[in-house]
Amino acid sequence: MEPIQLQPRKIEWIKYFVTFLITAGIFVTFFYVSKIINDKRIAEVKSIQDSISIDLLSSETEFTLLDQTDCSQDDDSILAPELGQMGDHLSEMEDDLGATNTDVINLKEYYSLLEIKDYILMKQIAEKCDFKPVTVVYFYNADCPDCTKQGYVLTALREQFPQLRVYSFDADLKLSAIGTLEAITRAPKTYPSLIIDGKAYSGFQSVTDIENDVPALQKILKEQADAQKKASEKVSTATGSTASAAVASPATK
Amino acid sequence: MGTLHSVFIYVALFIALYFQVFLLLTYFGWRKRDQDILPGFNPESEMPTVSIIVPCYNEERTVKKTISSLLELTYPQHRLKIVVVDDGSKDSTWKVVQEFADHPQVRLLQKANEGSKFAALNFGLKNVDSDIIGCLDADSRVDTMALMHSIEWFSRTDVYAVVPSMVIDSPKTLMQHMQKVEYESSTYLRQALHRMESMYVAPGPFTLFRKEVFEKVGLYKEAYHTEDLDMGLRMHIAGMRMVHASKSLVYTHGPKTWPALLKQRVRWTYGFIKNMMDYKSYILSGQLGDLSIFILPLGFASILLSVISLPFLVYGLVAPIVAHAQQFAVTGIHFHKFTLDIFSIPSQAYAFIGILSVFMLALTLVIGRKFLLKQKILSLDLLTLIIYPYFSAVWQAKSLYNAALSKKSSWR
Repeated sequence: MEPIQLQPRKIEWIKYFVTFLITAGIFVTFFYVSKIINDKRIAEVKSIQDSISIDLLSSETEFTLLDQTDCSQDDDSILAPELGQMGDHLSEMEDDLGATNTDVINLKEYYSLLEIKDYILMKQIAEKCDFKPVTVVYFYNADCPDCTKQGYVLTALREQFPQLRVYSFDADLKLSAIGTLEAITRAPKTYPSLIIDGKAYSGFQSVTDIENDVPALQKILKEQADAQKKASEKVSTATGSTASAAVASPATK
Repeated sequence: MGTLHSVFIYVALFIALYFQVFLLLTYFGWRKRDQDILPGFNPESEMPTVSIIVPCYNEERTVKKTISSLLELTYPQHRLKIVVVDDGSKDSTWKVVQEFADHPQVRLLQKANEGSKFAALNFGLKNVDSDIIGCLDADSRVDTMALMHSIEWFSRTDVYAVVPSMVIDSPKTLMQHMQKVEYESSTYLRQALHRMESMYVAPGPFTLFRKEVFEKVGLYKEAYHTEDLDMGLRMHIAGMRMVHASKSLVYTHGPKTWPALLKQRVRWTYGFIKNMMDYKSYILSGQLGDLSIFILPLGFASILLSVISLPFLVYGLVAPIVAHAQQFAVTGIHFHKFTLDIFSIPSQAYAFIGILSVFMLALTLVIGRKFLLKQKILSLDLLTLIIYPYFSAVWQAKSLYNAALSKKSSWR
């Protein structure tokens, strides 16, 4: 058997180089697209923040200058959903860009301040107009295992009870206003800590815990249940036979 | 996401994308032009004589179908011989093949089992004398036109071996469907390697060789139960061209269960790693052209990447499920309203690159299925692509582990 002979092969280096250019080009394009999207997201959140701050400023000005407010009109429908939506966007951005990203930190700090201003304004209007909103003030930090779960609970409650006002604060942010708020509300120093209608709770509170603890929520639940019952009874009297329906449903008597 | 995690993902994606781009560039035209012109044979007068060796070990159930499919090949009958080598089977294989004992094209041989397929192949080689020699595993069968499609390549004098397209025969289990899709993607890969003159494996089922190959390069070696890889490398070193006859179809059975598949793939990957180490001087010196600097190092790197990415893959699969389970436990099943805005599009670069890679994979499957194998493109088994990376990472990890400890893998 002849020894294996070697036939040197020519390598087309230019092809490797062109492939590198194409691949690098694709990578650069996608990194650029990613940057554009992140910049747009930041701009969007900033614009929501600006509009909230203008609304807040307008209400505050009205309140202090005229020393009266139109109690029939309630800012509930303008501010609360926007604040909540902004909170969701911010946590999505925190997941994508990381908690140490300076843009994310700035936006969170600004958001916390807006929340505090809304909280103060709400208290003033409540006193003036004599109505009791149900508020939850929530403090959390990064090293807390129950805080993710608590976050889910509060989001679900917010969706179920649109009248519920939830103010969440990241205690890790270097904002003295948050520390002051914790002191004023006598929030326990362990996280998650919740202040519901002035009462402090430490540790994880589930959906049912909160529903049971807060009488105002109980009232809303009962109202919802009654409204549902009335609606279903209306349907049954309309579609059922007259005799049996009149006997069967005592509420219509 | 940690920085190390990010860097790893981007490096891995870059390498994977680079490879895909290189292959696609080659496939769509960047190569020497006249490599695939076939003068063809003048029928009858010039057609070479062919011998197909069928080594069998305990194949009583499938060997008859194999031999029958060979006899049904479209080819001048007096120029085609089948040599069956019973490698000391313990079942009734020998009895089954007696059916063909009186057939003029078939020759039956028996030998004592030596523990490896290469010995049976060499035994067959010593007993044949035709222009072209090939083997067919006893659990595979051939398409009737396979021999004609492969043989026409030998009308070029620079061709020394012809490799067919392999297809999984009647897949039934999940593992077999997964392999079917994998083989289709491999067909594209083989064709791309062919266009790069970088084919380096002469797979068992129905690869045909000129008899000069064995005279010049020698018989099969043990080579860690992957004698086809060793033969391919030796041919490449000797400058003997190996081509891919994409129209030539061979149907082979894939392992039915995960343990059987794991065993087969560990044998292949372990053999690959060990052969690479044996031939590392040729690879490192750059003497094998594109194989040296690109294909083989990448093959090795992809094993490492696949293994390292397994914990990330598992984490990527498990973490969202755990998060959602936690959420459902705490709040009950809740569906958020979905709005289409700047926040619903992914923002991380790796997400887009990942989507592009999936798109390119889809492209390779389309090429493999439609243009090379002439099948329809869409089918349910494409879903096995989702689970494939997990399974493949496991057998690659096991092979790497075995190679590091230099444990021998078994043939059966």
